[in-house]
Amino acid sequence: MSIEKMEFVNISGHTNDLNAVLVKLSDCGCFHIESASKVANKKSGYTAIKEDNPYTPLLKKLYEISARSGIDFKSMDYSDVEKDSLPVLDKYLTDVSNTLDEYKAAEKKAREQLSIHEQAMYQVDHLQGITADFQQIFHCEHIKIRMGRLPADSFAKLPYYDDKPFFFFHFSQEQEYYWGMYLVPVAYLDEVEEIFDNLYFERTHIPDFVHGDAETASSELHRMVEEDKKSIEESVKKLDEFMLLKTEKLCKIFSRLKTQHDNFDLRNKAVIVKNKFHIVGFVPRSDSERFAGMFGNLDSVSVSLQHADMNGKIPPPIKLKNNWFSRPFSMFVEMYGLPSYNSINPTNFVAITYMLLFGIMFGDFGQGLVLAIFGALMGKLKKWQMGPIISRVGISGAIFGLLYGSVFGYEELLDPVYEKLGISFLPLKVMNNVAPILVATIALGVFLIIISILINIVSGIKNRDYENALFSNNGIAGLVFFGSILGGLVGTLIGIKVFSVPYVLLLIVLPLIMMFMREPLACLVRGKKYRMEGGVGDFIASNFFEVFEFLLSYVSNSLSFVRVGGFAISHASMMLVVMALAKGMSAAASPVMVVFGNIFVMGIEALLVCIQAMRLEFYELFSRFYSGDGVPFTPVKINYDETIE
Amino acid sequence: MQKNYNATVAKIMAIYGKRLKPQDYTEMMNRHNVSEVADYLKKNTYYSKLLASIDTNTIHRGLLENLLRRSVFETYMRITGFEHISKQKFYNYKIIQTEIDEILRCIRCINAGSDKLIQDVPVYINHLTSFDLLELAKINDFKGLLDFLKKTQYYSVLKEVSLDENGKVDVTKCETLLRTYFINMLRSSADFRISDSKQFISFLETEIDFINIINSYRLTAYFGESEEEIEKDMLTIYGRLTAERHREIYSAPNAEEFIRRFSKTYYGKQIIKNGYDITDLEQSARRLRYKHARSILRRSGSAPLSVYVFIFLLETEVQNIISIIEGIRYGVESNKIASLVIT
Repeated sequence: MSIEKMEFVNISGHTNDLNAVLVKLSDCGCFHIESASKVANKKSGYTAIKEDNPYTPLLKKLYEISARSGIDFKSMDYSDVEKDSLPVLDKYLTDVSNTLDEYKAAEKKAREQLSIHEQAMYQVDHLQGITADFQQIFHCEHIKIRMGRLPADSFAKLPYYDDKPFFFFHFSQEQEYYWGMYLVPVAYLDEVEEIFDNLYFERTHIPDFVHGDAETASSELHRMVEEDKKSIEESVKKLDEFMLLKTEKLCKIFSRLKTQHDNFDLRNKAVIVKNKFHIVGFVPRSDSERFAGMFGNLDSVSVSLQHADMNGKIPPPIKLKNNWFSRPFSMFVEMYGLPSYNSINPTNFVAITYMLLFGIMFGDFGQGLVLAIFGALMGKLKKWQMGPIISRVGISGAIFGLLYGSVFGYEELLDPVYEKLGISFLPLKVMNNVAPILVATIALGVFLIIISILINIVSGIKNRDYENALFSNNGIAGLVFFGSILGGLVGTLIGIKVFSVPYVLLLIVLPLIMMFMREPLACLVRGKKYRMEGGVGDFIASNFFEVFEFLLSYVSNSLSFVRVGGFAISHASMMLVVMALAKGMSAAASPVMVVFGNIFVMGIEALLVCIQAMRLEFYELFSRFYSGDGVPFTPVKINYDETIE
Repeated sequence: MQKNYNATVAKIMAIYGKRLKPQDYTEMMNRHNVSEVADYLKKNTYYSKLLASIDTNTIHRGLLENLLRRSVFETYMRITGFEHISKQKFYNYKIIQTEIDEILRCIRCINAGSDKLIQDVPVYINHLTSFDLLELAKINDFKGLLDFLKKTQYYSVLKEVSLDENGKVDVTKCETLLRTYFINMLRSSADFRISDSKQFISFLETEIDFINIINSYRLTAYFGESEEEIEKDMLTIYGRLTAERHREIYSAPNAEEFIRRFSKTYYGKQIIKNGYDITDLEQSARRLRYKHARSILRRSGSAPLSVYVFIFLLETEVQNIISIIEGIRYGVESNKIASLVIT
């Protein structure tokens, strides 16, 4: 419900114990490391550790083996290989890599053979009209024969060369090409070859291994292609069998090397002062006792803990503490950015307001329940992050559906129930109360904006940000101004004259002046001298426009909530259309229409309403009190999924 | 007055949406040879269908260029066939333009004594042209050409052209006559809505002015020809720039003065305003027209106007690819190639 309190940790000890400490840090799962050089005193003469990671080359080798063999390494208990030295592991990996190379080379060779044979087969298949032996054709003494393909456009130009001494025979046509051969007397070979070059004739070189006529050669090539395919399959099979034997050991080596590699990388965060290392970071206060006791067996190591905010140099990381109800909504908060350490965790506020806004817009008892069940199932079975949110907002939609008296678009279904219970003001039929609903949603928006301003005031005072808490448009000045205007308007509407001269001067004009002068006033409160940058003219101009924008934002933010009512009405209207369509259909088609209409409206409305509610949260509410500049708490751990550069 | 063909305009916009983007050109410029460029086009762009059966490893540069040019024509056929508007007089312009280009190529081959015309003849269009392109490729003298064209609309255009003392055909004159004929044909057939017609004429006039400006610049800068000599070879129709303004520019004694005078015209100011290099007149003119065409295509709902500017944009795209291919083939630095690409 709040932000987890942190302890700032300073671990120091003899450099001999550094590695052991780092292993414990990555095992504990609750230590957020920071670079010690950020807090080290420069006068102490510290040195930051800058060493090449000795595990990187071997890990790279492993990743290369993984990429070439297609094996994904998993973390495993690596006690079997823990004692092996790095050169021994290097030799093992080199051997595996070399054998892999051999299998891969064999496979590559087989694939090349296949490519050559397929190419020849493709060519010969297009020359099926040739009944003479290829070898005999190529060995004619007075006539030369060129086989290949001619672009269709060039084929059309052949009549132009009617007077030239050659014949072109085509055997097949394939889209843009005519496959065939031309015959030319040896004496005219050069001239005719030039003509065909200009016609973009692509000559096919029939390989020497092709014998017989086109039909015989084709069947022989088909046989060769089949053999090549078998050969490739065998090579792949052998490679798979080899890798199967090696996978377990490779996984163990990977687990060991990745652990040592990541731990070694943490050394760069430490500093050394006279044979002593210093590591700093943060631990959640709830884990601090267990954490401090972890190093009992390392005599040289000492751990000092202090309140996180006592350290002024590094902002403490943020770990949100939420209950089961609001926890799923932390996704939205994180999406916007985490709060700062001393501010307020807005997750509960988001959970309540989001459900409220969604429920009003999506009020249908039946559809809400379906959505809730769908969300719960998706969250449970598919681990979908939005699942629990959908299930909660679905329930909210169902509750508002009860208030509206709407069940799967049937607006009269609950009327008898309320009659029986004697509740006369329910159901609150949306289509009969359009104006009140729109006004009520604006009122709700005003209420939520006031709550947001109050949160900002509390948060500002907590962080001693007086400019923001007292004089900004989201501070006390803004609240008084906004509240007074609203109070005056409501009073006028119900016939009370509120806008007296003192009222206007004290509650409207004075807060406006405070907002206008917020920077000098904040300096005054802090006891600092205000320095005007850019002159008086610049000050007046920039603050005038800013205050003008504040005034506009009060109006636009409040009116923005009218969409909540708008979507409630649109949901009811869409279901009205579905019901009207169903009514006009036959008895058999009507239920189908109702079911599909409900699915359609449910899908489209749920999506739209989710987006609109999130928009209202982020733009109208968060912008008033939330900065989202916190650093997430990320405990150090070995990440087996992450690859190295 | 023609009726609206909104589906054709929508179809054009749909095809235009698939055009190559600047990053596609950058990717192609980073390739090392024609095969790699063809491979990129085949795997990453809407040219994949065109190149589906092509082996990009062995493709010849000339074949690739011909295929790309053919794709422009096929797209033209596709969009004009979509609502069967190809039978209207205006939409015949692409065929006429191709015929004129082929006649001019034939004349240049006659002058050069070359028989290479056949290599790039667009045979895919042969069934639509008013004469047989393969027969045209066989012609090797101007008299033969005039005889061949006797039954076509081009005979009356070219019949007055005579050979010079060396027996050569005046290509510039032929080009001037044929282009003038083409532009007049376009002007007369562009009978669409007044607002669209205005835009079309404005686009066409820019084309006319730039043909004259670029040709006269070449004659001034590379041949040092006089105003009278230049004017003789220019189109006698004018666009936004008046005949006087043209003459004033033609009379520039050298290239620098030519550019200085041109920079004071509407086009010169536009080129400077858009940050193009005015000394590279041809490129800047192409860039300006490209920008103009894009703006028309975005705003226009008229089918003939959209077809005309869209085909122009498509041709520019193909020209960009060809520039990249040639640049890579001749080892031109990528920043130099980039300066030739118009986006």
